[in-house]
Amino acid sequence: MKFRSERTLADTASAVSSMLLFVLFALCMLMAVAVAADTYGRIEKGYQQSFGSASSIKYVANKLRCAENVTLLDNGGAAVESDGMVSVIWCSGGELYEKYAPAGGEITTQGGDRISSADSLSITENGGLYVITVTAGEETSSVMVRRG
Amino acid sequence: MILLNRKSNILLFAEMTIALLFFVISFAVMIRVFAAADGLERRAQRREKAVLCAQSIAEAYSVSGDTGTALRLVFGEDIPQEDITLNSELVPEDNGEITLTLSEEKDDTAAGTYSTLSIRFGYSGEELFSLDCGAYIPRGGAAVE
Repeated sequence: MKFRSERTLADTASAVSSMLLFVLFALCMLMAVAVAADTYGRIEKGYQQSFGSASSIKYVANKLRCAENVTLLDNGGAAVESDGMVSVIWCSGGELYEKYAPAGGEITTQGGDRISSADSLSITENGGLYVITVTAGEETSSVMVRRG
Repeated sequence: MILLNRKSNILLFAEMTIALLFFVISFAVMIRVFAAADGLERRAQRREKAVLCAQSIAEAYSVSGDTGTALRLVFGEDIPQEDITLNSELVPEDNGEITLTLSEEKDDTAAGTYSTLSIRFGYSGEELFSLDCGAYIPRGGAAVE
């Protein structure tokens, strides 16, 4: 009877150890998934913000470069005249918008085509240069473009 | 029957130990991969900022033809033209992690001055981004001084 009891205790200890190892394995897997998700999330967020601000700033910079006439707007955007058309670029509700109209016609910052994601846009003048500043999330990018 | 159960438990225990060892090795590799990915992403962000900053310096240099004026226009303050260090946001800072090296060459002619500027950003001894630009300033003077 005693022999049987010792055997049962050894079996129980072995089973518990195996279960503990399994729990440890599961915890390690959980930790690995958490670390992976955190790293992936950070990379993805950084990429989106960086892409959002960089693509917006490059788009606006190229627009200003090929412009024949530029009028800076109070809302931080600009009205860019080129080839008899006026293109108004502005930022609203976390998006960068653009709207075309014939030169000389009335144009408002309502509607328009969505260009990219951006929280704010600011175009100012400084020493013969336009200073374009775009904020997307925590990322703020700024670039200077020579005035035509 | 009891002996069979015990043998089965030992085998399970051994299997779990091997699985755990395998997992530890795999986890170490995974951590290295994620750390490398994170490092690459940070490097890409620094490079993106360096590109925009270099572009701004080049544009400012093209209207002024002078390195000091270009740096003042871009950074908003007068900074020495040698041993420039910037922080991660590319703002001038003593002992910053990013180095900015500028080298200028001027060629005076009867019509004006053609000058070239080499802009190089470095990080941890490696080149992050470089850009060569030029400016032509006629005898009459630069657009911005």
